[in-house]
Amino acid sequence: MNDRNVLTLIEQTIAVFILALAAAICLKVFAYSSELSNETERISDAYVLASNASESIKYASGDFDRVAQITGWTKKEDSLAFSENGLDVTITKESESEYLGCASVCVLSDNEEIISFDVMYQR
Amino acid sequence: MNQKEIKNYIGTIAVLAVFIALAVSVVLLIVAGTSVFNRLSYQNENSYDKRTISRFIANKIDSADKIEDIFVQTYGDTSAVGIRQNYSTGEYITIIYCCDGYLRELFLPENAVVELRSGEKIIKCSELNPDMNNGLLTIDVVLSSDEHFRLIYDVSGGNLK
Repeated sequence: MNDRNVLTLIEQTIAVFILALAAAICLKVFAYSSELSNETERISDAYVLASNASESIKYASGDFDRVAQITGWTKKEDSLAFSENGLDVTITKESESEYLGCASVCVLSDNEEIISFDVMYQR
Repeated sequence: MNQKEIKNYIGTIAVLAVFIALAVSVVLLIVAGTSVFNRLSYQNENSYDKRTISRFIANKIDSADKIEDIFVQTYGDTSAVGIRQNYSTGEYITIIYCCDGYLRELFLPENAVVELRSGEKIIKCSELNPDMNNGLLTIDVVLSSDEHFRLIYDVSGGNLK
């Protein structure tokens, strides 16, 4: 191997090393932004599902049997549940008075809570 | 081939190999970046479209004076969600529908001829299929990316029929 070749080889090895370093940083950023985008999409889906759940509860005045009948969601004792786009939505009856009722809507993704709020409805 | 020529040959091959590794790495990095960027744009656009469509329709429905003013009507092959409004100059309607790949809004006197293409473009959307059943408004939406989702609105005003 002549001196020129050795020099070129060292030069290129350094270039590959710098590129590997840059690639590692880029891939880390790609992975982070991808995760962030998935999270945004999940929140967006969760928002639509939670909104649908709350509107259905208000429509049926807290009658879970009626909501299950209209929407096809699964009723379990004092709660309703359904899954869509990898999100699990649970609606639980919190309290009921003569005129008003309250139910909590919770959206989970991989057992991690994304959105949770209470819905008041007229009885 | 003498010893010196063999050494030169191996040296050239080594340089070429490293150069090829460099070129392949650069190409792979660019391809990975492009694919990630493409997916991000797609996901972000879908999320934005979903939020915009659901909020836009919810705001329009909330703006109705009376719950009875909200209706679903078909114009030709196109189903639309309508909101009736009463002004001193007469009755007007706002209709929300999908036409030519866009969610559109059209405000016009109640008895006027509906020209669907003249509606104002709101956002890209492939289909909007509203259905009103006893005060429950369900709207099946197909985005321009072919993704489906359903919106539900309570328009019963607390009085189930």
